[in-house]
Parts: sequence; structure tokens; C-alpha cells
Amino acid sequence: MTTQSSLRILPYSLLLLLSALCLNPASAQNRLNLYGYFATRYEKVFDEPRLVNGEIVRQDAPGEWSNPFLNVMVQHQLSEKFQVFLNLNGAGKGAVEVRNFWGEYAMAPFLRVRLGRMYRKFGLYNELLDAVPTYYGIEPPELFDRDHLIVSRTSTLMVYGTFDVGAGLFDYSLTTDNGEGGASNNALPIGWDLKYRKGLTYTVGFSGYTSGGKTTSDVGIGEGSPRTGVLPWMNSDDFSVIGAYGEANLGSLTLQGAYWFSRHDAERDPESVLAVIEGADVNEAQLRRFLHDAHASLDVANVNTDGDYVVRTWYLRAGYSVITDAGELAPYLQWDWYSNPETIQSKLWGGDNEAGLADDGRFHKATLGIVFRPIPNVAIKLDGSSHIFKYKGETIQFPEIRFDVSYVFGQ
Amino acid sequence: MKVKLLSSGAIRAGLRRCLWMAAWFFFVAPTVQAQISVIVARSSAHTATQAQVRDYFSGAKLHWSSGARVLVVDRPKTEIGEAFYKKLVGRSPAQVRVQWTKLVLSGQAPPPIKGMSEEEVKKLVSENPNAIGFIATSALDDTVEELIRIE
Repeated sequence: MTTQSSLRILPYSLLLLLSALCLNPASAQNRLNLYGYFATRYEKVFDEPRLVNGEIVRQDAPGEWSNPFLNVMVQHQLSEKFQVFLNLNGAGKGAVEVRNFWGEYAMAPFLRVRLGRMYRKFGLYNELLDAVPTYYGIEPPELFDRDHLIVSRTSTLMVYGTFDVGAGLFDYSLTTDNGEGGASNNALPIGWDLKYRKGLTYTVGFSGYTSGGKTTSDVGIGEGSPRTGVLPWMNSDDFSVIGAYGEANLGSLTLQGAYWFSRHDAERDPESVLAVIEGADVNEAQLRRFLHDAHASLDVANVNTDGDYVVRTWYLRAGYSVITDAGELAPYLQWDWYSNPETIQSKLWGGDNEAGLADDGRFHKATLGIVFRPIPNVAIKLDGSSHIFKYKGETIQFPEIRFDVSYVFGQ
Repeated sequence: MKVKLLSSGAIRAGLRRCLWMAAWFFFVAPTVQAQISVIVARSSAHTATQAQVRDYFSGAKLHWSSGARVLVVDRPKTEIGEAFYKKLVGRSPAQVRVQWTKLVLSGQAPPPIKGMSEEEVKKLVSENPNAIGFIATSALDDTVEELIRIE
């Protein structure tokens, strides 16, 4: 959803919520809750490699403070069965984005219908990524890194529920929407998630997505990274994602892991590929993928339109919570691995600057950090990562540090 | 003036009494004081085991077994809250709060209702058949029903 369309929805959203409030005076059962969080972040990459005319050039990136993130959330339980949720984000430069706006009707705990703009249930993090103060780490897992999303984060219609089987809970969800590149007669996208939880101690689950036919990217070439799983130089892409995830909370120790696999049956658009090769620095391996003959002339006939590829990623995360007189201290350790042979380095052209620079589209990211919560509402996070990949057979490594402060209000 | 000397039997009996009093003071009295009752409204038909109650207060379960949404009445920044979460969930209130914040910020659950005093908790619970709260057992009265007792 663009910022403009988000802003168009905003007055209607607020009007609906205000009407709901007037019709349902607050009580313990029918409550309107207003809450959210502020966060600000500093990031600096040292010795960052860039590809210039086929050679690596290293330079410190300027340290960057992000605009303070402001997420305001409104949740209204209109009745025992109906609730509305609104999540507004003001991280943009003066713009407000409606990240979520949905209404939900609960027929029973095992059958709920949610309609609107919502985060799909997908793995451990997709629904939680806006809840920055609550999890270990600052960066999302690579599948939801905004430079190379494995699947779109939002959906439009969700049926979901929970079965209480005594020994634990089974959660399921099914989602559908217009699809990655917009409405199409030829595609019926379906997302799903199935998980088992035992209290807060164990969670294991599977998530998946299919584009349900040929789809397209939500951005054109030269318009930046897509917010979906389809690269902008593809004419069409019929793809699916599947993955497994788990979490264990053993006393003060939290362990998480996930593995994701995405198969793309894609067809490149020759004109777009030529524009990418001419406009963005691509490496030898990418030239060999994009062209029948990497050393022949750049013309439409030389472009290899068979764009099938596979994306894989996994992560392991661990955090240990220690309660002290000064608050909660939680050191954490994370290891991410990502592989995408089709992407390029330039973000402007829809790529990713790590996987896109590597010979084989693969990189590792090791992160060590700490969260300090002096009070439950405040989280101060500091971490550092080492990015590791291969270029021309040589191991390239560069560090990055991040600092994030967030404050949860109204809860 | 005659001085009556205590017999050895009397001394032993006195010592025994002192030991019983000390044992009561150190072991029994604190237990009585620290007893916490998990309460629901008298009109509530809900029942729950201690494991289920733990899941409700930690945010692991959001619905009663009947399907109605659980309305948790929390008591942040209170001594009884500190003791309750450590005994029931095995975590500090701050750690439980982080779990609730995850649910709340992701739209999965409304925040718990806050009840600061015993009277406020009893009032909130007694007025809502889907609410659950906790108070000191000594504060129990006939406005609410005790669901379980945390020793």
C-alpha cells in the first residue's frame, strides 16, 4: 500500500474507531486501548564493500540515525466477538503509513475471520516485527529483511483459530489477498501457518505460501527493493515458500530456529534485464545467469529468460534473561544465513547489497548483542554483526554496529 | 520468700513450647501471609487448573475452555504481583510483561486490566464473568469466588 493510499484511508479509519467508541462506552469487556511505541536507531557499517567496475571498493558508510519510529496502535473490543485493530507508523518523513487496519469476528476460538490489512501469520516474527521493544535483536531475520523479502508481509483475508487439546494448543491460519503484483485472473495466492504451542515453553510450526499462479513484482526496475518476493526484472513468477520454525523458553534461556525454502518458476523480461545490466553493477556470476553468453553483445536475444531459482535461509537465535536490581539484562547471539543467486547488489535496482555482491548469492551474518530493560516499557539494545561472504573466491567480511532505544506507552 | 525451682520436666515443656512458637513464626506464619487466591466472579461458570491459570496470566492462553476471552486483571508494581508471578509462572513480572507486550503490540490480545488494590481487583472481577484476578487469601470475601489457591 502506498503512503498516499494509506493517508486516504486514515480519516475513515479514525472515523470508524470514533464511532465505535461512541456506540460502545468503555468497560472492562468493551474497551478501547490506545498504545504504541517510540524508537530511534543508530547504525554504522565499517569497511563496507561495493562493486565498482567489477572490483570491490571498501569504505565506511556514514553513521545513520533513523527517524524516530512512532507506532500508534488502537485496539477496540466492540463486543465479545468483534474487535478492530489499527496500527499507524510514522517512520517516514512526515508521512503516516497504515500498516494494519482490520476488523475481526470470532465465531469461536477455533474459527475467527479477519478482514482488512494485516500481517500474515508466518513463522515466529512476521506479526511481531513492529513490536521491536519486545524481542531480542534489532534486525529482523533475513526472510523479512526489507531488501529481500521472501514473501509479502501483509494479507487481506485471514481465517484462523486455536484448538486447545489439553496438552497444548494448535494454531492454524489461512490467508489470501490480491497477490504480489496486484489482482490477477490467473493467480489465487494462499498463505498458511500451522503451529503447536505448549504454554510459553515450546513452539513448533510450519508456514507456507503459494502465489497460486504467475504473478509480478510490486515495483518497476529502478524503483528500489520490492515489498514482495518477486524481483522487478521478472516478466512473471510463479513461486512458493515453505519453512519450519521452533522456539524453546527454558527458564531464562530462549532458543529460536527456522529454515525457509522458496522455489521460483520465473521468466525474466529481456528489456528489464538489459536495463539492470547497464544501470547497476552486476558481478560475473550474475552476468552468466542473465545472459546466454556473458561476453557477447548486450541485446535482447542474448538474455536468458529462464529465471528459475531457489532462495534458502535459516537462522539460530539465543537470548538469556537476567533480572538484576537495575532491570532486565539479556545478552543474545544470532546467526543468519541467506542464499539468493538471482539478486544483485544495487538496492536501487531491487537488489540486496550482501547476497547481491557474493559469488553465489550467499552470506552469513553473526550478531552479538545485549538488551537492557530498566523498566519493562523501555528497551535499550546494542549489537554488532559481522557479515561474511565470498567474492571471486575470497572471503569478504565487514562489521556493523547498531543501537536502538524504544519506549512502549499506554499499555 | 520461697523460691520455687522449676523441675526439669517443666523446663523441657517450656522449651518445646518455645520451639513450636519459633517454628510457627518462621515457617507457618509467612506461608499464611503469602497465600494468594486466584479469583473469578461468583456468577462465573469457569473452572481452571493451576496449569491453565498459569497460561492465562502468562498470555499463553487467551480463552477460557468455554471459548470466552479471558480478561486478566493484573497488579503491576505490587509485592503480591511479584510473588504471584514468581510462584505461578516461574518468571518475574517484568518478563511476563514483555510477553504481554508482544501480544498487545501485534494486536493478538488487549492489554490486561490494571487493578491496584485488593478492593479494586475484587470489584473488577465481580463485575465481569470472564475476568480473572488474584488477591491475598486473607482479603477473600463473598463478592468473588476462589478458583485456586497459590501456596
